[in-house]
Amino acid sequence: MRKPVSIAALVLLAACQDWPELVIRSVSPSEMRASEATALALDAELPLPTTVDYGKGTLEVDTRVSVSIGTLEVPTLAVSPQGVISTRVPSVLVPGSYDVKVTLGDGRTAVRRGGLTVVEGVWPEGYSIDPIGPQRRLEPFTLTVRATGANAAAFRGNVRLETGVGGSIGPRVSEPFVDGVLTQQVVVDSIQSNVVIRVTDIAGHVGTSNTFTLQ
Amino acid sequence: MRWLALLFLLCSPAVVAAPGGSPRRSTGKKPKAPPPAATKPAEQERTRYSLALAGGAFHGGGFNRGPQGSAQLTLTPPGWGRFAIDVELGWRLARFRRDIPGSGGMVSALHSIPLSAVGRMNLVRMAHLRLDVRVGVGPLLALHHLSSDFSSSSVRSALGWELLAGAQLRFPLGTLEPFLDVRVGLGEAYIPFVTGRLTGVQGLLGVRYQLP
Repeated sequence: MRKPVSIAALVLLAACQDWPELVIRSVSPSEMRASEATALALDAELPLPTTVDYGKGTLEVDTRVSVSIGTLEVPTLAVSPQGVISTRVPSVLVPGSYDVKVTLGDGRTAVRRGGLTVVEGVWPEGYSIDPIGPQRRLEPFTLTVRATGANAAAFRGNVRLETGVGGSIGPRVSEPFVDGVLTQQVVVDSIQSNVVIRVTDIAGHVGTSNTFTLQ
Repeated sequence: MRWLALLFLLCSPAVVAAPGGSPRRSTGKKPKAPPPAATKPAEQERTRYSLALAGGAFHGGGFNRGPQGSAQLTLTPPGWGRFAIDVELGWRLARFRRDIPGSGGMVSALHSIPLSAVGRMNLVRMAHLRLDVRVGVGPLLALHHLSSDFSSSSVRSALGWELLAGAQLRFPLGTLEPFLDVRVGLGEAYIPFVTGRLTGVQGLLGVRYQLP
């Protein structure tokens, strides 16, 4: 008697099945240089959460997909019909092995342990920032940063942007350099009227702008 | 007079029987055949079985509609007279497709597979027309399949229950018996993110075969 009951219980459990598990089949490439922003392709099975109403005949799909490398959230650039997520990892990760995590809009996640390995990079010796004239608070302006020294021309990484105490700058992580040069729109706010922009990379190289007036 | 005749039909044990069953003889009239006790065939002493297949459609409002099918095994134990039991395995499908702006097409298909124990009572028995009422209950397996041009497909399932009540109009033609089945169902199986009625008003056409 106990056996049929056990079988029936198993059948009941098997009959109730929720969303299938998310699976990250591969991360390509699985290795990147610490000094180069790298485009990643994540091949994954993504059954997107969908709300179905048969009374109204509606299907509402939650297409939100977010990706993180370790604790770093990276942008989801595109998701192909085959389930390939395109993203780009900035050069802000120190060498090591990182878990790759995909999260859907309903909170379901898939993790590929050690999915991305970051190896030592080749960094420039420093950075120089083209002169900045007077600017207005919260009005975008163009910032030009140049890598300097050996390896400068080949640099395709990102730098962190910061201002002094009492100020903020957006974005906080730059776009990737193109052959050693970064040209990017930034927005600055500060309680100070004289501001300096500072760029740093994870290898400790620094560049500082001239002091400019912020109105 | 018609109503009196109908009442007579309903009340008389001589005119009611389960599918394939033989009527009992009333005691008020002179029997035209030998007494049942003397001539009752051996097969009447054992459970009779018949198998039916039916197809049709259901509608529960909105897009809760679609085709359905059913297989029914009817058991008529000896001495049950007008009563019988059906074991019924059904299938229903509600399906629709929508274009998701910026993504592509998506198809939602909701299958429901009820397994019901159904009590059957014969109300009317005439030469070529019989009418049964049926009430049943049982577990219901719901399967929801989503497929699209832009996302992995998924199948989710849940167990629920179903209650049905209806009538079956049968037309005996020897061992074969075409029938019309009309019923109303009530049931539930909870699958998150899916709002659908797995049952509703149902109509089926089928044929029953009296197993030897």
